Amino acid sequence: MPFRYYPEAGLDSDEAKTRSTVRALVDKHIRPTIGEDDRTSQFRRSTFEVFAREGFGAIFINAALGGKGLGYESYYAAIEEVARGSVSLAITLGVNHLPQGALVQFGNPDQIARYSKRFGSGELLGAFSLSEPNAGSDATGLILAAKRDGKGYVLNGTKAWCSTAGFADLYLVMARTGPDRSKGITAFLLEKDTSGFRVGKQEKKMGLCASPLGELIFENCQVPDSQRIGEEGMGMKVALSQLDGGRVVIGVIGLAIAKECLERLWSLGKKEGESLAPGWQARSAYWYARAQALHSVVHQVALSKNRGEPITALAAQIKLLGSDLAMEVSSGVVEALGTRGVLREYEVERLLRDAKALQIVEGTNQIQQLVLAREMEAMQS
Amino acid sequence: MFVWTEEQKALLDTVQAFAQKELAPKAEHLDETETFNSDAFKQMPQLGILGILAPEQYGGAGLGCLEATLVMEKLAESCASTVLSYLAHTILCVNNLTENASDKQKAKYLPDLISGKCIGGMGMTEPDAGSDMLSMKTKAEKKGDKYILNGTKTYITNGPIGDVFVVYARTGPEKKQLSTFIVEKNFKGFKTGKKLRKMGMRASPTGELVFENCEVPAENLVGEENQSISHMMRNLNVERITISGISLGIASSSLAYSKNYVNEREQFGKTLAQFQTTQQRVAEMANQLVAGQTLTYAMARAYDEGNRDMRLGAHAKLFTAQMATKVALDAIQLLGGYGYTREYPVERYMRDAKLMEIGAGTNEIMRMLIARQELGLKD
Repeated sequence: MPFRYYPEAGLDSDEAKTRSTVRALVDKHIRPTIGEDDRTSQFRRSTFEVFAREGFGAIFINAALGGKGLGYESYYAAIEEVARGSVSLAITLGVNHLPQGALVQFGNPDQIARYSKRFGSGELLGAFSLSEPNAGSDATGLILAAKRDGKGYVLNGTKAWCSTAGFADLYLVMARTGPDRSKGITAFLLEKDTSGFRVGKQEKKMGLCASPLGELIFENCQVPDSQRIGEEGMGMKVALSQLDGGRVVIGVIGLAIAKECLERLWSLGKKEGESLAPGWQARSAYWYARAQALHSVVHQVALSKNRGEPITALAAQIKLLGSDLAMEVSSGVVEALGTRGVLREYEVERLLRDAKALQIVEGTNQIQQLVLAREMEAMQS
Repeated sequence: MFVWTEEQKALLDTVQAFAQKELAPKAEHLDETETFNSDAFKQMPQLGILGILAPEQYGGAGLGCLEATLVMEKLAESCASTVLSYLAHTILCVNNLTENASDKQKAKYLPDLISGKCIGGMGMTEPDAGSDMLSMKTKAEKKGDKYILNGTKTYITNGPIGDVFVVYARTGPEKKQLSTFIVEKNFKGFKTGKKLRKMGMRASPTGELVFENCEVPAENLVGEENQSISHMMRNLNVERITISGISLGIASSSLAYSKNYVNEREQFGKTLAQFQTTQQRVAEMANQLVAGQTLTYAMARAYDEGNRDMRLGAHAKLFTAQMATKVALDAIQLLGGYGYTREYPVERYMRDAKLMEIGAGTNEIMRMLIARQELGLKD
């Protein structure tokens, strides 16, 4: 049985309904195949489409624009429930919402008309690409060149570690249009068939195996003005506007891993009719307390996000605590289950491999600490 | 940092050259394909390490626990999972026989095991007897000049590839009435069960041993009936000390890889090594590694000098296993996105390290052993 966390989903009817719908979809469409997909590093578009058909391809775009129009409590609840079955698919869904956020926030009416409904129907799967081989934590060190050329831009260079690369239809890409580290960056929404654009090598990873990760290669790639999101030089602002939300998603996925592992510990970690060993009871009680605290903070950030308030500090906190909790709990539960813990059929080892990624993606946890310290400094002055 | 004798240095050099040539280049592929490095195993007899603790009369090297641990560490720097199989062969099987078998049994089995003609393993764990090993159910009943074994062993390193297994089975109703047998793979009624898919240590095959009215000649009983507990304990201590070498090797490679990377990788206009947070992390990793080495070498020396306290293995293994996981995780974090991809070896180091917290007795069992001694508690 699942443990209870407060506030329970019942407080918000949308969220409650979202959780039960997603949970049923996860049981039916994810749990039977995730073991194989992890082993064979397979992305199933058909599974994404199952969720998209129920509106989970565009959760927060409002209904008039073709989205499901739900609030952020429901968005994070959906991500959490998906992550319990497949961290990989939760990443795909979370990433899919990043270009959507940029589109509705910075896109012009033409662009919104062109894409939002197709996101809503699941026809389009979106991706987000900021990192480059030499610009990881140092994002504004990116060098992918976008040169002005008549009525558009010509892009040349390489992007790295783009989630869903090769399977996505629309890529939000940040490229350099000027020398200023931050203000020389511009955002583009690129269709997959754009000439001069292709996907390079797919990375083999420790975890998140059912979520593709690859290189994007631009060779004299011609992008018309109509694909630029926001003004020239606003690219970093566009990217950062989505990163806070993306960080909450990572923290929520971490929370999902922690909750899932705790349940596995209590169901698999003891013999029938016996109770869990006292040492594990104590450790899991502490993990449960931290999961509960994080669960509450996620509701807090959802409310802030619904009201349109800045969430930079909260997002960094959630990402940091959620990913660290996921790592600690999954690692502990692997240990508690002994050899079953490292066997692939018991799945906890997969959650541990997936958890490690959370400390790295969307800004490493070291970067989150820098962000938080900067926020703290601002609060002091 | 540590001072070795000329003989120890020569042994380490030989083993290192072998590891760099035969293990390191293949480790990634073998992990990916979950295959055993049988080429390397076949060459180990030439290094004299398959019977590292065994007497010279059977082809062994007659060395101590310290040398065995150093060899494990050196080899594990290149491929931990090959070393896990090596350990199951050399410590769990060969050393168990060396310590507990009769001269006749030694003469029959040790030469082939030490010359690499046979691969050895050991069967203790069962589906319902992991940490609680005294609850094992595999039964051996004496019928004439044979023992008839029935039951299933699981999580057996080298299970799918082994030729000779040291197997523990129940010979009486009391919890401690366990006996030790030598079982060959072609004995009637013996078969290997399914090969298990694991998170790490993938080049070391793990599987089930199944006994269905398996006929074992009475002469293959090791020692007296119902004497297994002392066999087990003696061998578990050696296993836990030497397996710590694997943890040390993993941590040592994690640190070495991290150091190279942070000296080369530039972000924000300087190398990662120039950031204070990186320096702090690397220093902590190095400190943990040296602490683990110091502890393990001291425990191995104490064992070689005749100390049989079960805490030797427990302390070494508990500390080094946790340390290796931590240091490997730190290495992934330092390499960031690169560290998480399989293009770089550090994610494999971490997956391999995690098993060190579980195999040969979990961290919890190590703490329990230590606590019992420290607090003077009865079993």
